[in-house]
Amino acid sequence: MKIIYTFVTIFSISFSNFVSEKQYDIESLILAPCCYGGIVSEHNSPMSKLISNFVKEIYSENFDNKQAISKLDEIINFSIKNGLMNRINNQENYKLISHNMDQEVFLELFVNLFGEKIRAVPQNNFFGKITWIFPYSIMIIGIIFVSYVIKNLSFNDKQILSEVETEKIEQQIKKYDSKGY
Amino acid sequence: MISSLGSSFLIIALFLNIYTIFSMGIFLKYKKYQFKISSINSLYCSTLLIILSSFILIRELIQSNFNIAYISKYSSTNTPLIYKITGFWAGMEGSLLFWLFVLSIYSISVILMYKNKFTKMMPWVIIILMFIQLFFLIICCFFEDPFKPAININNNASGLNPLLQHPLMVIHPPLLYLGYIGFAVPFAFAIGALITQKIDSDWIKATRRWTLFPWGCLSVAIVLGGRWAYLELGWGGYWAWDPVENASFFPWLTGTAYLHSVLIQEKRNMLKGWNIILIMSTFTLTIFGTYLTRSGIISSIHAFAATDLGIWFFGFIIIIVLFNFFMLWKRKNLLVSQNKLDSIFSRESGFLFNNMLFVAICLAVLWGTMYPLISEAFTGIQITLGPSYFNRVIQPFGIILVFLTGVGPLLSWRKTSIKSMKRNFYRPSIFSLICTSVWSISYKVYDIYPVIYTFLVLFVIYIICSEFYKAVITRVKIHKETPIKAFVMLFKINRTRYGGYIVHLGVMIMFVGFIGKAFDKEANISIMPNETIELEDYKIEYQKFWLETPETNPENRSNHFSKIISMKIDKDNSFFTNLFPEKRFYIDQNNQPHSEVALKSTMLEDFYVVLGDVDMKTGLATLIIKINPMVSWVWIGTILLCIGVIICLDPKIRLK
Repeated sequence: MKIIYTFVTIFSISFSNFVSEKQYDIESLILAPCCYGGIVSEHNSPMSKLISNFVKEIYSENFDNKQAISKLDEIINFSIKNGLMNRINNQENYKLISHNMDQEVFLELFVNLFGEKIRAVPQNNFFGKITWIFPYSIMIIGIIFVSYVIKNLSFNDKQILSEVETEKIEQQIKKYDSKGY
Repeated sequence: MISSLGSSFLIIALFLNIYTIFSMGIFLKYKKYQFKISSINSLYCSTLLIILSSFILIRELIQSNFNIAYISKYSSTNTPLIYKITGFWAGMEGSLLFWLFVLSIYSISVILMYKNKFTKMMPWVIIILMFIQLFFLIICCFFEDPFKPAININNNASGLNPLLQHPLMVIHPPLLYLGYIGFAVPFAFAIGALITQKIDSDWIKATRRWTLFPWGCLSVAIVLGGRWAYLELGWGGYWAWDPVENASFFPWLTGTAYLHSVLIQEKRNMLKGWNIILIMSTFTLTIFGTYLTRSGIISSIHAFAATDLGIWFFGFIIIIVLFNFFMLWKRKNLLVSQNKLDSIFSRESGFLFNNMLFVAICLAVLWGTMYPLISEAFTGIQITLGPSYFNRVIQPFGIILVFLTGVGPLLSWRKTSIKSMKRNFYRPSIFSLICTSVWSISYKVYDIYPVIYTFLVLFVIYIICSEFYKAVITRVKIHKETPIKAFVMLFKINRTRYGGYIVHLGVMIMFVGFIGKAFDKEANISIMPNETIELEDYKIEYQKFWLETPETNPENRSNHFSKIISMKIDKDNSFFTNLFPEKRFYIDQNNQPHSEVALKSTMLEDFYVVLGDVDMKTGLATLIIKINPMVSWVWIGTILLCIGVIICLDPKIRLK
């Protein structure tokens, strides 16, 4: 029971003023455009902080569109100042900003600003879908392959081992099992 | 002078290495024993020269000889002694010499250990090891000479990167190299076995320790690397699926698969070809990992500076792969299993599925890591996949793998009856189901992955504990021993089996820590001195701030100055801890800033503070505070894993 109590106690933390899970998830979708060396949620740089402030505003209960636009402008100005992007017309991007904006729209906004390179997840197209499916297809093919191998390596009724071989195997297993205890 | 001595030693070692291969070849062709002796003697000499040149580099690092270009890049007069020594493996040239150093130690140990055993196979093992060594000698002598003189002598060199000036960076790289390079030994034996057509389980038994040791080193190195990232990088995590991290994970995955599948060859004389493929892949992946971190083809914050070396490593990988394929094709008739599987419900089948999963995870991670190149090739856009992709993709694989870890011990060799499976599954399933349900409902945790993983981890832990319990009870009854003695005797009688259980237990305890990651919390705060803020159960009091410089604290701040704040933390209205987060500025690195994490670890959670900055006039501090549940369990699990590996490294194995 001690294990249960330990487990139960551990997860009793629930802080309302910590970064929300939603914010963390959103920030995990893009790389920090200062160096593209890590995702925004796990990157300690001034640029990542500016993006975090913007995300916080978007998903805050007291969302203010003007505030969100000004936070986006802070990101853009910082990027231009540091040579991370050229000056652009932002009117189209401003239109994308909304309260609790969808993940795809959020990605579209940042892809508009910094290009596809900012993505930390596959694109939403055929190739992107393949990217998600590929690892699972390996697993499925692997399972089929192993099942096939097991089936082919297994005995069937027609395959009979010689008595000598069977006895040899039995002895080996007995020897191994007797070592157990 | 001394630098040219180091270079000369390496050049002579290179010639001796070629001579070793050549004379061993003559011995194999003409069976003239004196050539074998001569070959081994020249191997001893080349090893000695490599060791000497390594010590010369260390000596010069300690003495801050900035006439050597490498030392002027990775050391400074202000660098503490221990970090001057670690400069040996901090840069490209030094780390390649370190590769060579470790490989030569491994080679000589193998020769000394098996001097009079495997008489047919050993010459080939030596040739293979020497070919690998030859590649690194060529690189060190002609492309990345660690003793190359500096063009402009700078007596005020910048020194080691501040991030690398950490005690864990003293241990992590050597362990990683011991892991990586150690796989060269079983690889050489596998090739030796193929060439000499002795593909029975003897070479497997001979290399068990030579596989377990590097595997254990690699496992610990990976975790220590994670621990370093956790303490130094300030983002509060220990694994980010960075390409360099993944590079160490590839050989670990195939190496783990190999460690499991060799058991089938030992017990049932099956999967000979598969085992050889696995160890070939493991070794190739270690070279691939080295290529990935040194070629600059994939960007990573952990990678070495990009050089032209990539093409050489790529060429070496191609040679290894082609050679592997050639050997497999040449010996395909010998790789057929002599025995057959009896049932899908057998331990052999369990191991096969486990192998398939490890290899599938390896391919999935490889796919994600190489994705920037793949996406560029197909779409023209380079996209780097972040942790959200890897976490989402790998979690289902992990579930099946953890499940199989539990199922394995319940399956018998050859065949397990459905009745006995039901009987064996019943108790652990009920136990973990009840525990997980109580936890999940009480604390409203309904996320699918934490719940499933908790269930499975409890399931596996129950099974492992019951395996120990049953064995101890049996011994107590049969041998009339005390339970403690019976427990100890288990490891004496069957080290592989019970050591393996300890390793599995360690891994499951690590998984408890991984589950905790799902409940991480983070807050960004700005706070003035003498101000107190509350974060749920925590009360954080910012007491004072101050500056320490090399003048005020020469003992601890020889190469940096530091802004420090003191904080008093209360939890549930009682004192919890005092913390002193720092913001350091390294003088030799143009005042490069670095946040020194302040951490209070408990079994339940880590209270983790990163000081963003502090205004030395007003004292306004910006902090990132993280509550990371269960992280300590990852480190505890690693200690258990180490103990398990040490138990498994059975010194009593006798070879023919």
